[in-house]
Amino acid sequence: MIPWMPPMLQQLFVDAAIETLTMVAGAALVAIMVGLPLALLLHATDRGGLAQNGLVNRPLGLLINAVRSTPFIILMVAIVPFTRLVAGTSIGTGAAIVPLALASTAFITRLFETAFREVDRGVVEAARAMGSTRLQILWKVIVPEALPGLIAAVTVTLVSLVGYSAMAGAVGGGGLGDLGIRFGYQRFMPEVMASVVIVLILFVQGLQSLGDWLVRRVRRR
Amino acid sequence: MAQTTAHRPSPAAPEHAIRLTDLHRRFAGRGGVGTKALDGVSLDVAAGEIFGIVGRSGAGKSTLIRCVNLLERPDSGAVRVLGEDLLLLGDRALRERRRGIGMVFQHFNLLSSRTVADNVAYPLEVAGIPAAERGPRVAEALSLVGLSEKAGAYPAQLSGGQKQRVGIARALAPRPRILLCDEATSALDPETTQEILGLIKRLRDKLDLTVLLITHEMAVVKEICDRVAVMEAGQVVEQGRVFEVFTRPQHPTTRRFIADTIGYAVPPGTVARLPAARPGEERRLLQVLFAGPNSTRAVISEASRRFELDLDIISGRIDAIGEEPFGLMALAAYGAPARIDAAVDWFGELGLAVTPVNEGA
Repeated sequence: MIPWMPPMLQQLFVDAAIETLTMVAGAALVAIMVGLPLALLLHATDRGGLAQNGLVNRPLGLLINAVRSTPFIILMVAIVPFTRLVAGTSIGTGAAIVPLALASTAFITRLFETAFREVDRGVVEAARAMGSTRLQILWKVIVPEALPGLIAAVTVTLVSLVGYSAMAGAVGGGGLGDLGIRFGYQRFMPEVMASVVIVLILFVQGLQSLGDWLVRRVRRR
Repeated sequence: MAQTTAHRPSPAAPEHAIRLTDLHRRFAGRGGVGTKALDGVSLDVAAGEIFGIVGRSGAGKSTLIRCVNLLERPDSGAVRVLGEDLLLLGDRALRERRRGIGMVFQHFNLLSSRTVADNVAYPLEVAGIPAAERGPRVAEALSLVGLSEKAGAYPAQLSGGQKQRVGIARALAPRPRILLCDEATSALDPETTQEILGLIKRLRDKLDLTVLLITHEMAVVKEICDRVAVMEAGQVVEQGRVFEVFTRPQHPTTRRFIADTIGYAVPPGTVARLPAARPGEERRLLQVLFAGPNSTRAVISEASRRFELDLDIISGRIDAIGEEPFGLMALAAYGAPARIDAAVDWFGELGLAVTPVNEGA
């Protein structure tokens, strides 16, 4: 598969790729599932929203900003007790998913919220005029109309998760980034470093192309 | 002489489809001043009529039409639709009533993620009508607007006129008795505007709808409205039958609107080519609108003789509002100023409106 590497390294490489995929997919899944309702809540409670409510909107916005402004490497060690509570351990790929999920949830919530904000207000007004309930407006109007933006947000989040996951080595999360540091840098094996970088570039390119293709498919404008 | 027949019970249907009473709405502005979007507006729209509200942007007409289905809540006043005060209703009941009030928008406001048929189905979905019943209702609404063959298309694939037809089909799918049109033709070219206005008029006749529309174009009012209200600065400054308002405008705002639509703007250069007034006399350009019982009398020559004036006809034409024709003539009057004044008064006594001609820029 990677002929210029010794067989043992090849195995490590495959394991690291699987770890990266696990971390990215696991964190993204949580981020989408938690971020979507949070973003809807933020959007609805915003000024001029369907259920304007500053008491919900402001604290939630503050919390999300706090998570987003904490550097990931600090966030990771800062929430170790929480990670232990959720994952049972603070070390390993599974444990690394917890801080990754937290950071990407905050990230994707803002991106989702932006996508919702782009929905034409006139369409929402029309839905109100037709006697829709607020929940009908959210699920039948705002989410479908924002779908291209939501998919683009997921793509961006996945791509930045690939980057964040490289830092997961700090808590023994493994992954391609960690492999690159330990073998490529610390053991001075440039071919490992180059392979890691190339695989990550291809991976990110693939994600982006897939995301763009999906956006084009669902965009009817 | 004994009264043998009892009084007929008053009909269940209210006479007024929409009755707005003393609506006030103020929008908060910077520095706590705010703007009065509605400043004591009262309007009655009779069942089955097409009622137009005309005004410049910022006159409050947009706020007013949104008060009818309470997209905008007035600060005070009463909103009665089909005899019921909507302001007294709870959320659920209000949503129910909104389904009986169709609304069409300037920018169509269609769901870009749904096909034409699914857009028209939306209000039926929201109303909880089962999927099996929705299909035929959607087909019926699309055939009303002549768009059956576009059922599977997405809004982005349609022209502006087609999008508005979808908007109308969507508004009519729940079989409302009232249709609100919010600048429904303002984003369309003149030809498409005619087409959509014609459609609204036909649908009113066919479905016995009551239509309330707002517009900034007097031409729209002239085309399809039965009655009109002119709004300025949050108030209705004039209202009445369209023909009356057009032929006898009272308020300066109304006059300006009408001048844009049916008045004359004498082409530049025309005035320069007219002969100058003789010494001691005056040359005055007048526009006379002929409507009513005296419109067929030979008033020009009569005025000329009576007041010793030279009346030069610059141009003239016949126009109509609905089925009622009226004539419009631009005159150059030459004579002593006092005599011209007397002639203008005499025209007024005959019920013919005289206004100065817009000499053009």
